[in-house]
Amino acid sequence: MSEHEQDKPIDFAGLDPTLDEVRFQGTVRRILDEARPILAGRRPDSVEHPRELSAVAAIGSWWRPLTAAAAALALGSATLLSGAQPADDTAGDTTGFAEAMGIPSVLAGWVQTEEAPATSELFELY
Amino acid sequence: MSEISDIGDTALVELTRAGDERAFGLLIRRHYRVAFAIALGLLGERADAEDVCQDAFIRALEKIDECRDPDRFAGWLLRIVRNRAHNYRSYEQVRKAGDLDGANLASRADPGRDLETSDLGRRLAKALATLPDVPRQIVLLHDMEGWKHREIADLLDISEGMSRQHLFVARKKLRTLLAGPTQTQPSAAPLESRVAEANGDY
Repeated sequence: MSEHEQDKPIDFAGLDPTLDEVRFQGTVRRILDEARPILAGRRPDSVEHPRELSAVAAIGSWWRPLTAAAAALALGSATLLSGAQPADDTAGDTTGFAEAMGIPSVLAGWVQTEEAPATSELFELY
Repeated sequence: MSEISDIGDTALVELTRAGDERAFGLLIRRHYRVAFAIALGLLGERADAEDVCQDAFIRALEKIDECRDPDRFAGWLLRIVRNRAHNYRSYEQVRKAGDLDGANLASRADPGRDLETSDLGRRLAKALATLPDVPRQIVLLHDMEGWKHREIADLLDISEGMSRQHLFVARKKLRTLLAGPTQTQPSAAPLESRVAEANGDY
């Protein structure tokens, strides 16, 4: 046998698994049958086998709810703080402080205005 | 309008990752033949090669997120095929060694599949089985799949020169085994008698 003949490829058509189309389709179908549950688990709407999330994807999925929660918290805090601020920081302050110390507001008013109470007012107080 | 069959491997891998059955089916149809050639090259038995191919495609699907370069899906898949074929062969060796009564060996054979294989296919497979692993893979990849020596050398981690040398010797041996009167009236005995003669090349 010459070297030229050795350069010719061997005809392996008899071993080609795709030549018999019917048989090959059967082979592909068998593989797909086994693959079907795995493929179903990979679909985004799958609940049986949720896809594994990477760390970045996991953080990303929480990013929007976290932002919303932080915004709601900030809004609530701002409202509370603005509500706690006194409208008038002159008379109200002293009266409020005196009440906090347990002094009746009427008495605190007299002190603040530096006016002597009438006798009838003193009787009303007690 | 472009058909799914026109889509490249990269897009098919992405679709498969999203659970698209048609995309995975196309990857199987596109790469089954070369996967089969590799498995047959390592195992020498058609039925074993088919089992390993099926197993390898399922394994590839399970691990598809690990395919970092989907454009080179074929190379990644063939590494899985080779690993599965090696594992299969090791398992078979252990199983056969432990199978004292031969009952399992007999039950494993699938006569239906053998009957479906053409006579030429059987003779080719029998002749191929006489080759060592590396020349068998080389002659199948080169002559069945049309791979270049550079591609074969990369896959098998050998030099291009070595690939050419193995191909030359493998073809010579196969031609010796397949030539002669057995081409018209095949029988096992003449082929086997020529195996011993041809084995002088390895």
